[in-house]
Amino acid sequence: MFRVPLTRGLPSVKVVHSSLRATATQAPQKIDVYIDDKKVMVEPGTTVLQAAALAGVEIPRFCYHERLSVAGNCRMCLVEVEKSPKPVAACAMPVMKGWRIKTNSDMTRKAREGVMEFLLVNHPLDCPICDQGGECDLQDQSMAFGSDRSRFTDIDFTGKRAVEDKDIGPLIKTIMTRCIHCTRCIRFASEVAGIDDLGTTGRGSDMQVGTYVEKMFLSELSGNIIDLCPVGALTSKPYAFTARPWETRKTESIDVHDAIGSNIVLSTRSGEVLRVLPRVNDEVNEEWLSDKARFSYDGLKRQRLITPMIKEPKTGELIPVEWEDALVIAGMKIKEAGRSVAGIAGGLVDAEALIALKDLLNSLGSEAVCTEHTYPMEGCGTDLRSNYLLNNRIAGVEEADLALLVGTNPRFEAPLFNSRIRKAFIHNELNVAVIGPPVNLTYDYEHLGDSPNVLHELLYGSHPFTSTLMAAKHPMIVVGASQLERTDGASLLAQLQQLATTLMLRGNIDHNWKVLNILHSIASQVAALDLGYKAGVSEIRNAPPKVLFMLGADEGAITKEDLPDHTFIIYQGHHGDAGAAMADVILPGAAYTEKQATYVNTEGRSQQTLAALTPPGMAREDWKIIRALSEIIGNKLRYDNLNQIRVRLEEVSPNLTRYGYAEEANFTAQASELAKNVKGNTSSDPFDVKLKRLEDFFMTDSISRASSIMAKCVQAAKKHRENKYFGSQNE
Amino acid sequence: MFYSKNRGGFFERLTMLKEAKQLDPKTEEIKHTGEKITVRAYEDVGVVSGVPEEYFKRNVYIGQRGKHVMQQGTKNSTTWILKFDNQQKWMNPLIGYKSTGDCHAYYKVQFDRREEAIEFARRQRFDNCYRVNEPHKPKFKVKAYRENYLDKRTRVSTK
Repeated sequence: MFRVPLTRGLPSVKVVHSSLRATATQAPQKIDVYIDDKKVMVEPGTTVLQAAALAGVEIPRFCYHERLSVAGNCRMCLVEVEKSPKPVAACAMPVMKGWRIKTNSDMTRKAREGVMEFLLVNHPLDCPICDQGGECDLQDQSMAFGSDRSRFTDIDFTGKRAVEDKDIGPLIKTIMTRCIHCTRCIRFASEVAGIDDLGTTGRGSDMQVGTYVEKMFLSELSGNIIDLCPVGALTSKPYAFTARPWETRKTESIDVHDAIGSNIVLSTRSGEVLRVLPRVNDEVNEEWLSDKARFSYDGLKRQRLITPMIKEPKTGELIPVEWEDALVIAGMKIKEAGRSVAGIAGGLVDAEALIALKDLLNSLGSEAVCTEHTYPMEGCGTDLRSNYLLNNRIAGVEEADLALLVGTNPRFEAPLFNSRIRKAFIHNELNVAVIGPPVNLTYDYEHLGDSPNVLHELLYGSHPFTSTLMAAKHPMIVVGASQLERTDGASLLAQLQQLATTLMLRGNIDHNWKVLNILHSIASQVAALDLGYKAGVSEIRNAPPKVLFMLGADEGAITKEDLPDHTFIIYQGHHGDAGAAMADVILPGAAYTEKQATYVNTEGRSQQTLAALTPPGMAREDWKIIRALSEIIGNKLRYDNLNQIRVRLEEVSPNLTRYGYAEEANFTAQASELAKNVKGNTSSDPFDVKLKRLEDFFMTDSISRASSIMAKCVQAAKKHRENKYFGSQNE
Repeated sequence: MFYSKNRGGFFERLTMLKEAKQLDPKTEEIKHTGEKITVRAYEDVGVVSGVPEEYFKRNVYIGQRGKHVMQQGTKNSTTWILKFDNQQKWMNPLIGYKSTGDCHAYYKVQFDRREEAIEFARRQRFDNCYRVNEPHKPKFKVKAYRENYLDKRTRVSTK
């Protein structure tokens, strides 16, 4: 039973639909229901299970998940409703006025025990070797609600039901005998991931969950089905047999592989990250996590810089040295260079290190502190925050009725933003239009072409889509930050601002609603721009400095060829990647799991990571290294601990220390007015995105490039694409 | 538009201390040998607890664990936890054991209510304490089985 999108609907269904709408627009009159004799007032249409949750009663369930559609097939949530002859499935049954629900009556308990007995008859007794052990819903619920004995005696010695395992890729291990057919993975795949690859075949005890033909489940969000699986049927391949949940220490942190800033929990034991799990935050990542954030943790152990190094001038070899030697040499060179020092900050750098580097270089008289990624500095540039933020916020997509994606592939640049768009597409009838390459975004969209001229046509009303755009109440224009790195980026942005203003001035938009949104894909970019970094390295390229300080700059914005031979390069970072390869001195820093640091996501929400581990070897927290260096140079920075440096952050940009909150950015009208000063024309070169296919997604930064799990994913994605039967499907 | 209240900041801890003071209404001034002495409004166990002075300067986190995504149960997810920041550990170069001189590394105190945790931190003189993890409650949305069958995008073929 594979899911096929159905477009036709029965007339009778339509009648139900319209009548529902009528009730939805009325003020919701709450109705009273009684859960175990406790009265709760709920909205009409609330399910029994939700009403019970409001009353603080948890009803056991396997198939029900609050972020997926209701399936109602596991029957674990059966409860007694007074005067009803049979128990009802709480997850699918809407409550009626005055219902008395008994969640702990004899009938309810008997029903649960019966369901549990059937489930356990078909479930192996392999808890001791099962990776789900200790965090298994089946284990817990059989303890809490199951019977203490079973009538299952295998008198014919036929053995228990056994199902062949599937190979669905390098990330997810399947032990299908353990499957209880809750169909959560199927619903996740088709509703959230947008890939209709999983389904069921057979019925009764022959029912199987799988892909029917052997096929990999390749999605950028595939790891989430591990979390969703209530039993051990789907477990993490890289984490297999590694640890039990009670052995690990959990640290709440933030992911830095994209600019979404997903909330994560790092499970660590004896100095190693064993796995990464999402943490619920409805404003950012809901409950999901992208595969890169979840599985690239093994990259934290490979290619690490664990000791300071100095390049031997004759041989060009990097030699491990003590901190003192490295800092003294770096300090000496910086002192000699005078004002001719420049800094480049890479994509994984935290705000503390960013401000320390900027303060240091500014105190030396240099203003050349740049980010690796370009952003237009014309017009109001980065002076107004609304100019470079995702102003409507990630959760704001759910309020939009039209999204215009310009030159971006959110599916791979920000997978959790894309899953929001898909959520709004399904549940809020969001319409999506795309200007840019026709990539697979997992939902239907109107393709307006890939030329920037479309923007011009939209602005002057000559494009057929203009009327739709103008009619939208909550339109959202989402621009990929990578498009603004083009040489005509500034005029593109100016054009988009004009379009946004035109839409706002039309009058049927709520004045709080912002139209223009910039989608970054680099974790450090917003914090760097907040702190006043210059976007782009053109200044360094035009006037090469005597000393170049590369703070985690690994994307090759500046290469050895761009610099004269006498430029001394200091690299500070955590991985031996492109930046370290060209360095004269290497200062080993800490990765995001090893420091307490501030990151700002694309909506301008500042969040902090907590240190789950200590940096390996002689590596140290980044801002501390810069602070130590400043003392050696003789321009001592005036902060000695984390609290003091955060006071400094607050001085520069107060939003940086308001953890968890996205400070609203305004002055869009002024930004648009200033954008009119931008000179130059938009070229008609078509928009292009870097990440087009799934294999492009996995390795985008120094951590994921060092990860062997990510390498396996790339291989699997390539292999899958080359398959002649279904290779082109996911593109 | 999305948030109106509860805006946090780095100096949030100051407001927390204020909140904690409100819990204790016994603020008063007493006269003692003609001098006016302001008695601290709250108990300070920290002074007499024997905890070394440097611990009072450390950052303390008060937060909730949140729901474990691997499971449906919500037990422990709303407990408030107080713990210290991570300090430098060192690795035994031969065996790879991690060691720490920080006896508060595994210190974790649980509370039922947020106010209790704040009160505890204040009494112990963990003055640098500030919240890190304010829970994000999902919006309530009515779920309906019929959505699977409606003539909308929520319609699915697997029932």
